Amino acid sequence: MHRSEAMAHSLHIFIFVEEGGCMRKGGSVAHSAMAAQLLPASEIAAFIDSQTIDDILAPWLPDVGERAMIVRCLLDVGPAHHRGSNYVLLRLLGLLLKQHGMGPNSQQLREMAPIRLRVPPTVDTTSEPAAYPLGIPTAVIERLAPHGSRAWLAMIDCLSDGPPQHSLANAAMLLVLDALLRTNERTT
Amino acid sequence: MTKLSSALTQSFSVAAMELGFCSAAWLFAEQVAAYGGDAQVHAMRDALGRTYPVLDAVCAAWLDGERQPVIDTKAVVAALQGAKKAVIVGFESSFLDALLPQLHDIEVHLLSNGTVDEQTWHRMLSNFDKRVCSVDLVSFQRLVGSHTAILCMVYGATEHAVHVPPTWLRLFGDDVRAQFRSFVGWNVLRRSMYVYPRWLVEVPRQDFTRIV
Repeated sequence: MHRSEAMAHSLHIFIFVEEGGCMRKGGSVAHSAMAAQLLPASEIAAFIDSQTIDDILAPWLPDVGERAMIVRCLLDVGPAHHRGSNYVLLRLLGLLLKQHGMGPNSQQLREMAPIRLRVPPTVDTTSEPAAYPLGIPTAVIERLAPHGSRAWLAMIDCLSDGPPQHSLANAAMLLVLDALLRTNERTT
Repeated sequence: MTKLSSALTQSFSVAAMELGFCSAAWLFAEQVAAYGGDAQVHAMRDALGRTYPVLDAVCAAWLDGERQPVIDTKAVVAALQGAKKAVIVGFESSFLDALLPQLHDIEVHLLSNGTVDEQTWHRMLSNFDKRVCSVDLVSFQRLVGSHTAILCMVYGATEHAVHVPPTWLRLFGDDVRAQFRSFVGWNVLRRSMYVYPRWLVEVPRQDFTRIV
């Protein structure tokens, strides 16, 4: 089917559906179901409470401005579904932290692989290390691969690459998972 | 009543380019009032207001009895707390003259706006005695990091929107939002504009982490 014909066909289906008042009339089931599944982005924004994530990160990032920057990257930058997912996962991990009364330990804060800011390669950022104030905690990865091994390096590379809503969420979740694993070992 | 010179438009244009819309507007309101009282301020507003909406708003403030701009440097210093560097978007000489001595430990960079030639821009900066450096839209990302704040001149703010220099649109993207400590808007015009905000652009207030 020619592109303009396809568009006209879609438009016809849309009009028919609107007139019929029922999403499954007129259009294909797959097309209608897909449209019905997508919630408005505002509904995602509505359940995100930035302050709760700010509170979870506070022990690791005492500087208010640095913390605000990280929270912005997690919850206010990038596709809506990433923002919502970051919020849900961190909130749940935060509940676990609260239940176990855990916080950061000095090794976590000492051993972090930097997450680089994504600036164009032509920009010279030598005046300040272009890294986020939150990095990937490396000690916890040693549970999966020996320190310094190719696998260990590759895992850190995976976790610290990508846009900040991914890499910083990885970092935040790893900090909490590390703390949970350490606590679990102490209690068993 | 003495008629205002037709050259006023041109002289304001030059002054606004080198001092900033708001700083130039207060200077002109003061000088025109000294020359011919409120009646002449009213006449200047009528003649130039639609062309220069910030001047229009400042004249309205003058006619309402205000005699100088509100320059709240303490609020700006507080908003920039923790930053080691600041990139300033927009140029307002009176406001920068008051602010810069308060930013003791902060390295200040002014974003060139492209509305003046390079020679004029460097002459403008020389008034700050090497206290500020110049950056442009290519080089400002050299300053990325969690200790660099962006400070933008804002011309009136409502609950939902603010007016900013067009350069803001060139600087502020989703990538940049994730690269700096904070985005502070300094509201240098504490009232709404009454005429079409020519030369400025309206952006969501949420662009900024804080408006002072």
